[in-house]
Amino acid sequence: MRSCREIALLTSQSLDRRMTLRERVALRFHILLCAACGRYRMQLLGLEAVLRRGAATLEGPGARDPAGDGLSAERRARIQRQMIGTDEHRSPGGLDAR
Amino acid sequence: MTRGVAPYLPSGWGWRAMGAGTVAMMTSMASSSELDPLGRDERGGGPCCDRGPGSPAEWVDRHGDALFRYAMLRVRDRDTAEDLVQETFLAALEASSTFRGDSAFRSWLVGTLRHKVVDHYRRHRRGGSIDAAPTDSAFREDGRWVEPPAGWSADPSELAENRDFLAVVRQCLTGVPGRAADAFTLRVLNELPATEVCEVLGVSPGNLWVLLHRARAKMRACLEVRWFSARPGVTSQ
Repeated sequence: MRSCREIALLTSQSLDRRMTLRERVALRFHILLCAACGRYRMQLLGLEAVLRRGAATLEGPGARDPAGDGLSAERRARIQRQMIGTDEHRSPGGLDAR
Repeated sequence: MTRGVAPYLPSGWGWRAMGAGTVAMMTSMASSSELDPLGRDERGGGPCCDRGPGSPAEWVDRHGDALFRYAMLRVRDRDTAEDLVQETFLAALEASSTFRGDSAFRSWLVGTLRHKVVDHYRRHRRGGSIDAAPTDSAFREDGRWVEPPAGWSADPSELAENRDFLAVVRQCLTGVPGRAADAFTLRVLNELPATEVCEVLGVSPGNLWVLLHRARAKMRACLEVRWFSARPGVTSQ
């Protein structure tokens, strides 16, 4: 029987690639006998699901941490200057669609 | 109508990735609400949405913060995130005549930024070897758990809308070591296939399995401590 350390690595891989039959059997068999690895597997599955779904929400407004709330005022202004500058430069050439 | 690539885009920006496949991918993304995380109007207010993209300066006001948060979560560095957002807006300027409506514009911005995140990782590969058989402090020498995972009373998949939980997720992600966090970001947050993550990061499949395993183990342990056992009323089974 594989060790819990090996099963933890295999559990992670089961989220990224197709398992061989041998690996699937080893995983099932181990989990049947080992509640800790069974919990580990369920928790990884749950986290994977929440992160894939939550990746949409993670960057939404309100999901804040000190460094993650928004563009700095300085950078915002710089981008706007750059975009307007480019716009003016381009307009005489008749390329501006608006 | 198609235009050429902007001559004023920063040099070194990898537009080579923008082949037909990329365009097809971005088109399919636009129809997927799941991948349009920014489909809400931050500053506008009111029920309207498709009033058109507006002027370039308005784009930055309207979408800049959300795009920044999207990038920040994925590259974990303020300057890099702001650079990627800037490049995204400049690319939008070049393609602006093709946009129809504000929500399609959002999707385009997010899709473009998503590719810029991947390109960032491709351009900034970390050197050094990956220890494929690290000493894993979660296990004893005989391969058993030092501290077996505790039972969680909450099902994590029900927490996708919980902002407090997601804030903890973000904090935990910053605790994952560099390359493991990169792999985890591309694989789980950007949902790239494993083979593509290997190509972008320049690592072998064997190394990728180890990196992802480490990242997931670290995230799981962090969330257990900071959420699942820290909540009042949540008990171990």
